[in-house]
Amino acid sequence: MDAEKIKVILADDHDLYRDGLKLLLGNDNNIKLLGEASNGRQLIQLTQQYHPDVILTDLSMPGISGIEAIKEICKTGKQRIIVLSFFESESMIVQALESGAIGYLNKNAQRGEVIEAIKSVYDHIPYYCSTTNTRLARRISQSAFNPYNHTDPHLFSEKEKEIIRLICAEKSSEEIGKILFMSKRTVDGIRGRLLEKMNVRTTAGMVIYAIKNSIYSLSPEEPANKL
Amino acid sequence: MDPRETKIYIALLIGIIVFLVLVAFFVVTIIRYQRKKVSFHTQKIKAEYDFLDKERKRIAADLHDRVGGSISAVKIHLQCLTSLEGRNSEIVSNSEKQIDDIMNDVRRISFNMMPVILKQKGLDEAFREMIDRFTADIGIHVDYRYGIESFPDDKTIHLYLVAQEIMNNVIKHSRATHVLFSVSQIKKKTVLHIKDNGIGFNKNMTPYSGKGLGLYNISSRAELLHATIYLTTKPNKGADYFIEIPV
Repeated sequence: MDAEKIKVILADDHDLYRDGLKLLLGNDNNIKLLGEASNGRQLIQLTQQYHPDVILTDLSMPGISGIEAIKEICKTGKQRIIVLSFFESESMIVQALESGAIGYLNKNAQRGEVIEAIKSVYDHIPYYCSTTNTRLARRISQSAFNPYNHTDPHLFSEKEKEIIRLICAEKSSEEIGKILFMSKRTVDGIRGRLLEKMNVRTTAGMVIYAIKNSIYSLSPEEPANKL
Repeated sequence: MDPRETKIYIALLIGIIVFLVLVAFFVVTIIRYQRKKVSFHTQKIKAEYDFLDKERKRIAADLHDRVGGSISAVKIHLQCLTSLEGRNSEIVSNSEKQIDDIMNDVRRISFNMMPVILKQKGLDEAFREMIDRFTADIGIHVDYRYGIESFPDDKTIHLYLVAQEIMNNVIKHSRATHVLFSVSQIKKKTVLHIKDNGIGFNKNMTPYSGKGLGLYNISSRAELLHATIYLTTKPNKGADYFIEIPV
């Protein structure tokens, strides 16, 4: 059944981390690891050789960095790339997305996220790590990265739009419930439906989607990072 | 004139000239010595900071590459444990939480030691990141402006750390709600201006008393930039750091 498996290549210069990742991917029956690289040059070679479905790559590697490798790989057409970041600053994540990646994972991502990210990106759905804070989400939404086509303005009801705006303003389900006179469970239910409608996996994804589609706008007092 | 008298006058004149020459020599020597001492002092500070910065960079990089990488490797290995039940599941999930805490500490310490971003992206981005980090969890509004075209590469680290030290003071002690943070070009000088609306402090506190260590660090780093610091502050009147750096 190999043909139906998601073919993955991973690149990271940290051997121990790469081993762990390999083990983790090996646990999943839907994923097949084609090869592993420890630097950007190897990653480019392996990609040209094996044509993987999804590429998982670290950003800082010796020689050719992750970002340079992404640019090189995307020269010949769009690829489904997830970048792994750890200490790398937010600007590097934004740069990676602008260079052609469509997802990113923090190296301290939570249990299950790596697999979720691979499956999401395989379906061409951008993946934003659950560790993303609103600041980074705003920064991404202001960048040149835009995987969304403008959607039908009637896709969301007024009530839903209101909830989206409250979520973007970092309100919890409980707080939203209090504001809109709903139970927390109802809000959670709507939140789940919204994620589905937007085809995003995380709250960060929702914020970026909402800003890119003009459902939510940044308030003039707090333009993210640009003062 | 009596030849003996003439001789006495000549001797006197020679004596005076010799004396003057000696005095002049003495004065010149003292001035030279002072200049040497000052330049030696500056060189010593520079050498000390160069060494210190090199060490900071090394420790930050080691934390980043080795410790950080290894911690995330441990976490990913833990995630390979599946079908856990009861107590085991609890132990693993607690360990994962602890790993997150360690990771955040490592990240914070490494960034404070030497921000990788400074070398990669330059002062503007590094300042933005620093301000973001300082203000992430507290309600301080920072009005940030950056208006210089370039700054000498070998001096960016000093300017950055001067600003970091000032922001440290502001965040830790000032209780300010608004901060102006601007880097600008005024005539032929780069100006770093950081002003807060906090509780201010008493400037007469000696810079060497433990409490004033931050100020001492600011002034000695500033010396390397040949900068002039104008600090205006009074209890309950905020603090205004205006630092002029000749380019």
